[in-house]
Amino acid sequence: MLLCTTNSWSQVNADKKSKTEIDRERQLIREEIQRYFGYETLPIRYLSLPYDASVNSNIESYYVEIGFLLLMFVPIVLMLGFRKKPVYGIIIMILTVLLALISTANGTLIKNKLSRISLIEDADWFSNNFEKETVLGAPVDNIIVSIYKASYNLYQPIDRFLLKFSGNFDHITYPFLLLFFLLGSFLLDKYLKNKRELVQIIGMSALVFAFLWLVFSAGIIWYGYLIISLLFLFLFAYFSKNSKKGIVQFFNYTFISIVIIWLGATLTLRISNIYQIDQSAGVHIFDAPIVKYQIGAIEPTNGKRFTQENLIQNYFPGLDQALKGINKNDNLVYSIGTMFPYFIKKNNQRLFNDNLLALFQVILNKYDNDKVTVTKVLKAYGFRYILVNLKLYRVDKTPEKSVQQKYKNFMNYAYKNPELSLIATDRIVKGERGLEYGLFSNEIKSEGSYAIFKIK
Amino acid sequence: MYYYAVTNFKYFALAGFYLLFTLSLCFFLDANWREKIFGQRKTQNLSERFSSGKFKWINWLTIFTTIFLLMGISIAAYIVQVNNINLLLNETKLIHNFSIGNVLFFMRRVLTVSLATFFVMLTCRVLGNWFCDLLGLNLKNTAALVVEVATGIMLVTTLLFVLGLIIMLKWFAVASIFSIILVLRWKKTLYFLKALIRPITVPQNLNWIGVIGISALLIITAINYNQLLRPIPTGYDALTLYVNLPSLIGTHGSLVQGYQPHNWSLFMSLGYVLFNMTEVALCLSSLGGIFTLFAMYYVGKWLNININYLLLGLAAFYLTPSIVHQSSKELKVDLGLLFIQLSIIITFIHWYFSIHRSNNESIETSVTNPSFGFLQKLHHIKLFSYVRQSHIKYLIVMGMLTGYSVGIKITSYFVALALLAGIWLIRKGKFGYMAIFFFSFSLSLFIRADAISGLRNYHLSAELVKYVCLGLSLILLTIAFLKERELFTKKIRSSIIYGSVALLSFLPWLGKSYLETNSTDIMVLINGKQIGPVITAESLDRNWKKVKDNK
Repeated sequence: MLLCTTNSWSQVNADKKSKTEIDRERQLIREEIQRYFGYETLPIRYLSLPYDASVNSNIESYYVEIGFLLLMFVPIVLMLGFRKKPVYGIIIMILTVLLALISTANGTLIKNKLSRISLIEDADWFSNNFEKETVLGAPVDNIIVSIYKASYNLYQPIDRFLLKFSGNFDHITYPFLLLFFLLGSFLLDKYLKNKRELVQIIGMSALVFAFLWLVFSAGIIWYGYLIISLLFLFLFAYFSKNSKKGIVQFFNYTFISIVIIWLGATLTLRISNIYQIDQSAGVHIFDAPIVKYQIGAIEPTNGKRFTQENLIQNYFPGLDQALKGINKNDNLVYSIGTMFPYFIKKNNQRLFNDNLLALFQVILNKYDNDKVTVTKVLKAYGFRYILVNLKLYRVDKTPEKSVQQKYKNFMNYAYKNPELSLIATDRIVKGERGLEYGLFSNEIKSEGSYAIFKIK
Repeated sequence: MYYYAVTNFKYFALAGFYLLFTLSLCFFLDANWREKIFGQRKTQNLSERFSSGKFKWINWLTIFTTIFLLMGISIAAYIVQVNNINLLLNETKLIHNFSIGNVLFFMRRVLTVSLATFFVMLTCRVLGNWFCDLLGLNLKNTAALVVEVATGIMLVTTLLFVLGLIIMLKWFAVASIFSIILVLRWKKTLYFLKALIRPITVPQNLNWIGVIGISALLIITAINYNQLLRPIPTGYDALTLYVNLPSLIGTHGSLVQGYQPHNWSLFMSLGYVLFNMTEVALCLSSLGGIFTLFAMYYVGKWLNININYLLLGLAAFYLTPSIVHQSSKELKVDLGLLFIQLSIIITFIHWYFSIHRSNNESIETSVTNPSFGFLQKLHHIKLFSYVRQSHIKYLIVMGMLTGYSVGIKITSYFVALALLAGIWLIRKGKFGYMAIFFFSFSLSLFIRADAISGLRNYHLSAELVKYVCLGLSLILLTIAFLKERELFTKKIRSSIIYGSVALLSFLPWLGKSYLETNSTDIMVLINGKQIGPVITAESLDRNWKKVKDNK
């Protein structure tokens, strides 16, 4: 009887375990992968993807930026292609306007100094502050904000309607997307009707690829590079063949001019290479430590050439010394969102990645945030080092800000933890002896990017 | 971003130089410009242009030299600018005593990395060329370059996989095999080496639009290359996975346990295995982007895009910030994957032409320039003769490359399904096309492709939709069968050959995962063994209790 009870209890526990694990994984995916996809009403996440991918509504950075050429010209080319069958052209136009409306209403704008605001999430802020302050830097911002606001107002009835059938999850999105594909394939088939058979085949195949990418890739742009490259060729093929006189030639000149402006803009973007606005903004076409390494610069401090170790020291002050300790033996290393696996020997065997603190939060909860016990639990398992990314909270795009909360909990755990000693960080704080490397202080001079703790 | 980039722009002198460079190229390459400026007669044809002497100097070596000069000038501009800013902010110079010694040091570094990368790519090309010869693929010019390099990379990776299995990923083993490949095909090796100094045909109707494209491509390639010459990678994904993995493979001298299939990382590991240089690994990764341009060039020419528009289009694509990012800042596998995917499309185009070629036309080809007699004998083996005479040779290469691409990134199975749909669309096979589409959607739901991105939980109808799609697929296939019986058999045959070869090509990775995990679960086989210590809150707790009890 007791045995049965114990077994049953174990089974219940096992079930609980797996559920906890599943929930943890789901939350992790929601935070990590779906930030590229957005968190709008479910069908809208898919429909706004082309726009989001072009203007970086969900994630803002160079690595997701594909520019405006495709967004601007693909609908135009499709409409122009249906000049002889205007009904299809009108369908394309209506669809484009509808998608633009949905996407801008759910989109984001740059506030200032590269920080972002969303009409959906920051509606109050918009209505209270935008009229009073000049918050945006670029000259056309007033127009853009007006368009976004108008879209937002027009979108509200659509959203209310959608919320009757949908929300965060639903039954309708997959069937709806399939219908959308059928409409798309019908229009593309009509568009390619007079083209060579192989062009039709590749066009229609590309549509299947594009659809699968949009539905199953959660908005990760680089999974769809193939379709982007083909769309570029498609655009240039269209304008290349229509160089007759008249209005078509005007379109061609406009297209070429915009492409050349785009090339200038992207080259400027690359040369200025701006990540933050300060006095040195616009200088960093290259990284200084890398250039020093490339040209074999002589260090004035020791008269020796700039080496790989100097380079690591330049990027992450103090890391080199810490790495020597970490790489001396095969102890386990707990990494929280850091970029350091590359530097750690046998990292595939001894480094545990808890990128968004999913497991750590579970452990903290399990031991009621008892920092000493948690550290002892980790030590008992063989962990000797904890590496943390001090900018981790920035990746959080979830509406509930779950990563930020977990990050805060971790910092509380690390604060005055008698079982941990900080062995390296590049954060600069104002301490008792003036400016120094450290984590906690009333005055943080430089946020830094990492901290390494040794478990005592 | 663009606004801040413009308002904070500081490199006016460098921008001026780039502009001057572009204008010089316009003058040099566009006959209309010379005519306008000097009243020089417009050259009429290519032979006239070549005989004028100027174009004899346009070859890959001079292009490389131009890129090198652009690199040097860009770096010099940076040093001046950063020193000025540093003097302003800290009253110190960032780089002291810049001398001719630094220039020589930089030259040595560039040449070392370039030669090492070239050695690898030459081997790939020679091997790929031999394989395409063996199968009798009828490829010319850019198509030959693209498909041969892609096939070569695939074969080299397979070779590395085998060496990795027997823990022989050592520099001497790889270098010996590479040398044997180059020696066995020494005539081809020499031919490809000479191609470096062979004049490149400059298109007759090139004008300023195309030249702007060329100039932009050269400038961004130079900037990218500068960024690649570094001993450690940058970027989160590169440091944790995409360059970390090649580095681990190099350190272990074998395949490493765990990870999803990683063909491109295995290829990148040559930088560590052969030369122990991160720079070479990064360059090999970035080359995927450069070869993508060649592949796009071929597709563009096939689409009859005007050369000037095409070159501008290539520049517009290559300067896209996301592409620039992956070409220089954070090296991943996606540009390599794109190159392989475009190679698959190019092979598909050739397959399509081969099946539409008249039956009377002989498609038998012979090995070009066999360096050794036994290679010719290999060529005459019946199996290869059979393959050469049929259209399936293209399907085989397509399948191999597709399997290889799925082995780079699982999401590349989209390409396989899209091309299958393409195969079924031939001769207006719309029912077949739709059948494959519904099958693709159903298959993706069956293998839970949407669970990888965590989207499955949001779709409450997924279970139903997958069966409905499968049913629709079967119904549409039946209609296709009834409507076009003869074609149906051919399409089924082509699909089976293509799919089977793709699967075979991908199979080694599944085998590796199976050996490591002993699991037959498809997701486990695809994801591989878990990396690092396997830890859950429960296992930590169990261990903690055990330790406490022992005390």
